[in-house]
Amino acid sequence: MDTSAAGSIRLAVATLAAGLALLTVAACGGNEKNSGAGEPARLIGAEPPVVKTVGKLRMPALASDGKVRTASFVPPRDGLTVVFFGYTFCPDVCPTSLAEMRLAINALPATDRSRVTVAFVTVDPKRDTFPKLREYLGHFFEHNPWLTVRTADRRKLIQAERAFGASHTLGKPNARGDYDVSHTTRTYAVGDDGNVTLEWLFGTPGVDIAGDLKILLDPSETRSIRTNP
Amino acid sequence: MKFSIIKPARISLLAAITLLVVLPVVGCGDDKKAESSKPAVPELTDVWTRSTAPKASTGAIYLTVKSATGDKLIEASVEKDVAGRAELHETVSAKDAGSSADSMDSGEMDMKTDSGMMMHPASGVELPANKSVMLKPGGFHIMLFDLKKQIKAGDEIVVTLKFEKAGKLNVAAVARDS
Ligand SMILES: [Cu+2]
Repeated sequence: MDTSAAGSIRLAVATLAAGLALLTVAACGGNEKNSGAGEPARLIGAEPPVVKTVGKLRMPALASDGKVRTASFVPPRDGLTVVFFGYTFCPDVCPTSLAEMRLAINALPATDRSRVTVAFVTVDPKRDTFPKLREYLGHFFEHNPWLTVRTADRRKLIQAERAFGASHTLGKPNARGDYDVSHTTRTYAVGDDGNVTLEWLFGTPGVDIAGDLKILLDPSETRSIRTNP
Repeated sequence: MKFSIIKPARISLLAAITLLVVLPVVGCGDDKKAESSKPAVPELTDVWTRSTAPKASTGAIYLTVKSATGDKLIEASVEKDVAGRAELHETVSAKDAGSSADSMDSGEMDMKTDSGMMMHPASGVELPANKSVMLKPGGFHIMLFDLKKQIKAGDEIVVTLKFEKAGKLNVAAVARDS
């Protein structure tokens, strides 16, 4: 291959990349990540409207190591737990959110993936057994630790929901025995201090979540929240 | 279309404006008289379904549809070896749905609580003429109940769509992970 041709192609690619980078910056209003001092990195997710302390909650959970134990939502030091409330019978909202999170986590460097634990809390413990939940979580998350919370004690579930600002309702069963479930669709990130640090609304693209995860996992980052003041 | 209440002098102007607006959209499509012509075959793009967990009992099919003459998607079905049944559904904000919830935790809803979303069967999806309508996550979807086997990325599921005017149409939904 002619090296000068290869060089000019490389230049063209570089120019294109630079152009794209400029475009992205323009579109997002200065969303570039500055290392060190100066402009803080911007997050897509929103800071919780009030301080949400969830570190004291203890819930029965099955973890990706296959063990059932009493677990908390607090991640290991410098890690993150991302928390979902949902049910496996859910065909639309839950798989969408979990698929976007999978995309986000798989976009992280391999060493960072293990720092993110996915926690899925079922709001439908009657239909969601641990074996079912295990298959469900295992399907979405192969490269990072997860745990799935299931309690038949409704007061305990509601106590956990309240700590996050989440809720759910179960409708009356129809003739077939099916019932409607409504549930909170946002995803919560919990830091190692046991507080909710960030919340993503349903529909947040995986690439945006990935960007936020990188910032949250980087201790050198000074952060500012773009959306919710 | 009826112009009975519009003065004849205005018609040509109106027609000219209509032509200008319609032409770029329709392109080289033939001149149609809305009331007498046959309904157009709906145009379907990006028909897809999400891969499921091994023993998942539910799934969802999404698509983008456009009808040149306007129509309504009223039903969807799949083969019995794919799923027990299929239904048109819509995911809506739980607040708007006013669900028949048990009241244990509904008394303390406030700004800090996200009451979330739920879904309910939809009687149909209106397709205004020449407007792309998306069935997408968090909105309209074709819900599959009682899945007979796991849906894996790359699989194709044939779905039969029934339109109010255009009748039935078969299309393949391609499975993907996200
Ligand atoms: Cu549905």
